[in-house]
Amino acid sequence: MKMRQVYLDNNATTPVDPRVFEAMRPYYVEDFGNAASIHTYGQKAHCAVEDARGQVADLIRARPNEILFTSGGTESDNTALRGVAARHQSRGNHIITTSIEHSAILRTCEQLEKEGFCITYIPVDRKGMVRLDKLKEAIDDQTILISVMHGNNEIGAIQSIEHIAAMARERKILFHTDAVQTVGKIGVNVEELSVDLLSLSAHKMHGPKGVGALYIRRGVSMNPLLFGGSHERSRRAGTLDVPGIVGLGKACELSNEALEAFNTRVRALRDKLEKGILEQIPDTVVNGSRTERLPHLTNISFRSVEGEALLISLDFQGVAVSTGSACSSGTVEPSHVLTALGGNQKLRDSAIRFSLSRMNTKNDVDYVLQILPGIVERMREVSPLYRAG
Amino acid sequence: MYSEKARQLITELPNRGTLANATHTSSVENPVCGDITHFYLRVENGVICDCRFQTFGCPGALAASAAVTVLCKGRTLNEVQQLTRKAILEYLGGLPSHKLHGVDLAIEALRQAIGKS
Repeated sequence: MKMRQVYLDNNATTPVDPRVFEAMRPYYVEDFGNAASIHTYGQKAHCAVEDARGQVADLIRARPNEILFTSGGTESDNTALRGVAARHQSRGNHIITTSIEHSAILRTCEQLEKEGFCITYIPVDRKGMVRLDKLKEAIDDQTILISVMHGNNEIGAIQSIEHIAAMARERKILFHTDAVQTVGKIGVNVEELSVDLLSLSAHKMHGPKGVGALYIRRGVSMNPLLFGGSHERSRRAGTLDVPGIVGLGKACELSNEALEAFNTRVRALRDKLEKGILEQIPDTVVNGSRTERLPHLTNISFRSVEGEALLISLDFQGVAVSTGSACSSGTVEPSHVLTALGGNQKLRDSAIRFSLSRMNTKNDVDYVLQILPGIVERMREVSPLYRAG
Repeated sequence: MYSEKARQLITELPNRGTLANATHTSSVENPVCGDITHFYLRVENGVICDCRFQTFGCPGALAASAAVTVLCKGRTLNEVQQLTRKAILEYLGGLPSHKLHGVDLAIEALRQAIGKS
């Protein structure tokens, strides 16, 4: 009998929705034109791209001409940081971000430091919430940009973006948020959040990999990351990935329709999973805030059980989860997010992230709750660190 | 990817736990990754009659520790002194290249155990 497969690593990537795939299909073989061409092939592609731009804008309540298509979240983050830094360096050389950002932000900041910019990394509290007092203190006359992620990829902590954006606006500082993990899962409204720049990615919401977008508020000036042709109104050179962009647009449309269901049905599944684990397995603890967080994930430490060993044991029984940040798997670096929360190092190494999507079912959760207690029990029998009680 | 043998060892974790009447024990830690292995051996007339292990570590460390206990049982101390990294990896059907340090930890734990009584 085929082993049951349960995919609970949706913060790493999500399966493409078949409706998204069907929407993309014609733009590979039949309507394959270059969106920059003026013949019919090109114009069909151009129209598809503009329809997708509208779908993305609708999801985040932006105007279509504020949407810049990119190759994904990493490029969106790089474009935002490097584009603003290059354009506004005559005003100042200070950028503020946080210690729990995705590596697309952190590594870009490290590079900007090498190029002469000063970066302040704001710490978080034990729940993963950015220390607003520290952020306020860090702002100075040289500050040109603040970048704070919306929802954290590892623990799901949702930051008070509108509050931070207001602080930035008051000091005439541009504000960027990496919303890769929130767009399509919770309501994201760029007007209410009052952000200048926002990164999003298709493959986190059942769209294709390799495509994303950067929201750039009208009037915000910045340099391009890529130079070449005049695509995207000279803000991003390179032939547009028409099928990918169509896929992103369709994924945004479908996520928009499913937002309410995501917040109720997927949240209920997450809650059932989390409650079941905490009740059935002793010495387990949820990492990060349990209130200000995304509805579809839980990050749990299993005391005295090594996270990767637990992950692989679950994998052998058909269940895919993650330890730390999925993009960092295979490295021996500890999770910088859990490290930033402070606390016990061994507990940090025992963390597992379960991230659900709208494609998960109650049977998926029941299966995990059926097999996980036994696996953890075996892992603890073999652990020299475990003492029950 | 893990071999079928490694998958079986990680899933079943044979010889896991402690041994109350152990004659030889060891405790080894990899200071870099934090993996910890304890070995418990009961040796009678120079033969390892029973062997258990406890490991806090990655799947490679678990598989290698379990493999060593399986390979040691019933053998003489002289025989297990000859146990090599290559022999353990052959028994395991290999390990992913980034998990080979687990074998070194298991060998060190075994050598430490049989080196003291």
